[in-house]
Amino acid sequence: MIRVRTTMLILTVVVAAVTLPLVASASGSFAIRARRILPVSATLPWEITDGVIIVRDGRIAAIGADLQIPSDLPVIEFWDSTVTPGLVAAATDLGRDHRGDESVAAGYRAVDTFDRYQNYAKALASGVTTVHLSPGVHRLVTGQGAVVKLGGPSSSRVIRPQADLTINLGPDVMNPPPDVTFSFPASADVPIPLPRRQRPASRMGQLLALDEAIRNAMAGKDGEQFSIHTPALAQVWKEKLPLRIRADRAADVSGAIRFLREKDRGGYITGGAQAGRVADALRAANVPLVYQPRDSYLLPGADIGTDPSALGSPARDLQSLQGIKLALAPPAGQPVVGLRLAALRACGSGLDPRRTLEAITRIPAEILAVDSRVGSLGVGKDADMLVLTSDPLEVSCHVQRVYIAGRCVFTPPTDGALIIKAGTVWAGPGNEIHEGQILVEEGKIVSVGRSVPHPPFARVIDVRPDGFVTPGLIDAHSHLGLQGDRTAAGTKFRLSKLIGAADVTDRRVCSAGITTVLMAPYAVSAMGSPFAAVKTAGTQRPKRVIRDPAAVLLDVSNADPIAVQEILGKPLAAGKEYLDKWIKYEKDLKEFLEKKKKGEKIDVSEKSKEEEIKKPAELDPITGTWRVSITGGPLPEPMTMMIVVRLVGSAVEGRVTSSSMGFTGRLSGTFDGSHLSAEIEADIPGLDTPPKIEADLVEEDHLKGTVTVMDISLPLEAWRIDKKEVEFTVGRRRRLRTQSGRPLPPKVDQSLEPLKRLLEKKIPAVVKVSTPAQIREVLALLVDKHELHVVLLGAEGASVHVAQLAEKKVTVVVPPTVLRMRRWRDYHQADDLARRGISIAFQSNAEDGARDLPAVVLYAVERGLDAEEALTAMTTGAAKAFKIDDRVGSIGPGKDADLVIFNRHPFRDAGYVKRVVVSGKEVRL
Amino acid sequence: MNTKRILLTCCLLGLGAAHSEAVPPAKVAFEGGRIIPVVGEEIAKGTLLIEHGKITAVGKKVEIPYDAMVIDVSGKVLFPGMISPHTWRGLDRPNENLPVAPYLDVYDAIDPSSLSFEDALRDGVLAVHVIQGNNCVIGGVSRVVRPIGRTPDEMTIKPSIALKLSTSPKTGSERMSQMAAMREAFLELAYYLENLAEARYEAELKKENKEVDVHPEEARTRGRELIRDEDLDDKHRNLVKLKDGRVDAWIYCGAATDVAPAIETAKRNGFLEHTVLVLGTEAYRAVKELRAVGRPVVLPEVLVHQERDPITGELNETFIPKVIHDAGLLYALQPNPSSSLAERFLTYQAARCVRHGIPRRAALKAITLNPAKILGIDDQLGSLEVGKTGNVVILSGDPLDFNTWVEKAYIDGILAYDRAKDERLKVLLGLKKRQREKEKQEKDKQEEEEKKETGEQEEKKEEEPSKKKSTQSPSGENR
Repeated sequence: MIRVRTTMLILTVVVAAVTLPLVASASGSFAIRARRILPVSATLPWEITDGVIIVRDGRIAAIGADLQIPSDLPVIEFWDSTVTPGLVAAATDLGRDHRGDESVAAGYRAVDTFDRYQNYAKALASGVTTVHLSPGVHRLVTGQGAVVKLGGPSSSRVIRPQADLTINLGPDVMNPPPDVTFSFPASADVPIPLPRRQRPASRMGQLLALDEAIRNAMAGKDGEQFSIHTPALAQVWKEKLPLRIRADRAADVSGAIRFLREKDRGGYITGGAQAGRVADALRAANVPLVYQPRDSYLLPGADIGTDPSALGSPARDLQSLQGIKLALAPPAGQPVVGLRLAALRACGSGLDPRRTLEAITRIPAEILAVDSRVGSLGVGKDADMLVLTSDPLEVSCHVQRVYIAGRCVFTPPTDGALIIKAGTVWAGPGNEIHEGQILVEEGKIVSVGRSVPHPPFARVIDVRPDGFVTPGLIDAHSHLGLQGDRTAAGTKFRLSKLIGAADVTDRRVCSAGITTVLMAPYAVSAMGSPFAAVKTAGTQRPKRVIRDPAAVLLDVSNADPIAVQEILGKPLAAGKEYLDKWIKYEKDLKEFLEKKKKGEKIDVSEKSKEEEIKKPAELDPITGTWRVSITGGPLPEPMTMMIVVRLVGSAVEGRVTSSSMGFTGRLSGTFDGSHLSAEIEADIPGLDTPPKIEADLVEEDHLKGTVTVMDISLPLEAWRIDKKEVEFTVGRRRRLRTQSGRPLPPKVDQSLEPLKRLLEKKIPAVVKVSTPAQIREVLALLVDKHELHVVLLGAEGASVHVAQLAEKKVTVVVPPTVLRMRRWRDYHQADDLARRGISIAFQSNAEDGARDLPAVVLYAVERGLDAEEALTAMTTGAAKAFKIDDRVGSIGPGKDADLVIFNRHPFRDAGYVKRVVVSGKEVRL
Repeated sequence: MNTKRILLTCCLLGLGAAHSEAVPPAKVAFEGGRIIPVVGEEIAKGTLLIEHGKITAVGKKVEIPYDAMVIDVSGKVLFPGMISPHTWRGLDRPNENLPVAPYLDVYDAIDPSSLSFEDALRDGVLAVHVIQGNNCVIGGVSRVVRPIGRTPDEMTIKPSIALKLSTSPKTGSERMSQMAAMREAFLELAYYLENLAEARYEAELKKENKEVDVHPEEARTRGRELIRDEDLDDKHRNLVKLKDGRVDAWIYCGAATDVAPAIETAKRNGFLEHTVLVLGTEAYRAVKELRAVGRPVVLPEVLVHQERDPITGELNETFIPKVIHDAGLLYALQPNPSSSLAERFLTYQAARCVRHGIPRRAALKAITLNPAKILGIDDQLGSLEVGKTGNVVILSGDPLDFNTWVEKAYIDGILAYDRAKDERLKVLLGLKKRQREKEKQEKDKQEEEEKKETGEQEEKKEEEPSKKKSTQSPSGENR
């Protein structure tokens, strides 16, 4: 218990230490270390491997691969992740169209529509941190756009409140409704004005109407009614805000280019569905383009038969747009979360990956004139960063963290899913998957293969390109957790009760890649000992136990081959009797239920209702063989004799033999439970009176007292060296059936349960054997007679019976010593047996010494064992031998997610353990 | 028609009696009650003296003038009349449909017979700030009234309190149009004033038969000083008052994001120092900005804000007054008349604040003194202090106890409400019905008894002939 508590304490400290930096990072100063950084900066290298970003007060203070991290900063580690700048969407649907009817209305500001307090978690989860807000697309001039961030403190979310003058060209803005602003209060003096027709009505008219509105505003001309839009347009024009011109059709795009040139204004085109047709003009005029592909990913588009752009191909358009300053944006009318998808499609259509990433980060930031703060990672820029599970242009990539101005503004909800991407996944013997992936949910493997489903927000362990994933290694015979306790545990005992939360010792073994140990006691009880299959990591006992009992351990390694069958026969017979009771019960119950179903009468005679219980008697304290030693007095040296006695009622009778004195005699007397008084009748020359023994039982099997021979009292001590168990019937009867005749189940006997399971063939018998003769006897009894599943432990003589072992599919757990001397030369048992088709497993026969088992196996491989056989023996082979292969030993759907990630094949290439996952959770090594 | 309704209401309330008494007592002393003055310590058993409508003494030992009417309130609680800080009720409808209409005044729409005033009296609310609803860009002028009286003039405590503005979008609008209209209104005012200044300068010169001799810019600057109130037209008068600080601005912010534009509008047009922010449920999240300007706020009617996480769907709840209280702002609670149950009582709103960790004293202030301060009437109302108006509510128990009734209410030392005479409350609680049933039962019983009596008599009458018959028949048999 104390052990468990200490472990919990250590765990708490570890957890606290891990979470602390995350908490501290809220202040806006910290360092991030990541597997890969893509700064998307014009001055920095494209990719920084194992890089560091130092953030101070929300801004990037340093970025690079070999940076000294100041000691005052918390460090956040993302071993598997890629860090990129936050994505910038240069066109979004976040600012809705205003409801004004004015065809030219520069007074509307999109920033007014921005909710600076809203939780834009969905947009952030898609990686978008900075967006452009549009005042609308439904009129010729809809107002002034804005550039904002989607997270962080509300006061600093707006980057540019008045970023541009938004102009829309195309059929959507033609024929606006007439302007009918009523004067109020209407009176005789103030007449109601007539509705004023608004322009444009045609493509020819749209730029003309724009030009006219600008000229009027600059001249200060106003309509009958005061309107804010006239002074606003004049102000915007004076301030030379960039013109954001939305144009989809080729003619509108070229019109826009011409307008920009004529007015000598900076600006850019958005939309650009047909921009590919006028790409040359765009290139020549050096006008940037925010390309919004026509696309619909929420629902298939309805009938778009009349839309000319539907005939075009985005791929062809994109290819023709080479050399243009290009930003990508989600399709018009689609939510901002589609930005990355738009980029993925563009990349798939042939856009260069680097240009694609730039087109959703740095380039839109430049177009929106916010590149000094966002769009790339560089010293002095805002710490707006994404932590991604993989390359942003990999479809399955998703967001792990979003930082805005050094604050973590998005952390995905933890649902426990885990994806492992590795160079090689060794799923089982002969099943090696290159570029494999594993999906784990709730501690179990859900899917494994070249590609697996990617649930959103799953944690990703990315050990590509060279990571080698194997199932957790298994130690087939260990004493981990016993802490030196050498008691021979009986089958009644459950070894899993000795373990709690994994402790330092367990972790040491786990770090070596051994995730499962088959735990057995050091000494084996005569009636067999239990095995438990437990994991070496986990915080709760129930989650650590795979199976308990996992096997029955029997030991005949020191027995005479002739006695083997008798030794093994005893527990088997007891188990058989117990099992038979259960079989009978189940049979009776089945019969009973059938009869009841049919409505037949049930026999409830007295005889069938009860049974007598036989119970082994308690050993009486005196019956048996005693070795007596008499010392002192005139005796030159201690005199010994043997007494064999039997207790009948309170009378004691027996025989005395003394080889040293050469006599035999009869013993008779009384025993009252603790005191023995008896006389010895023997024909001893010179002895008139028979010697008298007065002795007390000082402890179990130990008498102390005196023997009186001819007035001389001598001290006597006796030890019982043999005792006999007497079985007798007690009067108690046990009911077998209820009044209604329903059979009652037999009493559960925990000490016989493992044997029952053994005979039911649910768990194997593990037999410690050594010589060929012992093996022969074991096989004859257990396999041939009882048809049990057998695992041989040690089995130095196994090579003699190879054919038989192979035929009977008996696994041999080879001794920890790889090489032994046999007939004056090295003998490699593991290699010998494996080569001859016998499945083997490895054992440490130690506690935390199990950590060296992989090294031992590697030595075995170096000495000739096949590496593949070695890995199989450590995983699938051992799991199959112990019938725990439904949970561990291979990587497949439904199996426990116990995985070891090596940098390469552990035995073929002598790889080392990089990371360990147990029950779907990564173990901190 | 209208007078009839007023009379009817007064009669129903039993107010007619109170007010139609030729001379209400000039001096009233409440003796033996527990006084919660809101400012200062509670007095367990004290006396409150009102002379000519003003409180002249509050304390444990008060010398009661010989000619004062002494009312024994032992076992009761004296509490200042509560103040409803922000309601359109009392008007026929909350809003005009014009977005910018600063020329409106609630004076034109206050209906003295509105049941909301009667409800206010019943709930112990003795001053009501009647203001246009939130569905506008710039609305009309508000005023504080007593919830009793025959005309708006009679009811008025203080006129021209504030103009209503809103930075949350009006129905059928969105934020861009809302803010464009707001900016347009003030820009138009500036244009108007410039033109007016120029015209005034010209007019002044004309008086002296001079021609304009300076640049229009200069003329405008010079003319600005010459603008008189009567020169302003209806449309702009109140906006000028707003900019001058003669009228406050009450700006409705439905959401947190509306707070910054509201503050910016007030700052840009120079009336931030006269601004009160009326908050919607979600607006409390802008607490940083609110604290930065330190302007008073009126809390939303619904005190709890619920919000779901867009990804996990988890529900989070926030108790709004606690956030505002912790920010150290001056705030007033509003009743929620649309809730037919608890939230319509200011005392309940205050009790919930206490339940969520706001000190009792602060919660009580939020329904009395704070609204008085915000409305600039704290020299008259909001607490039981010497010199203030004699607006007292007599409660049956502690104000924050939900079992407490408003027993009586005195406005200016005159009885304005008496629960014992509240006929409509009796109807509402079914007392009337029960009484009627009881009466009916008694009547029926009486009738029955009467019937019985008469029946017996009739029976007797009937019996007599039968007797005769019975006596006859045997006699007949005998015959």
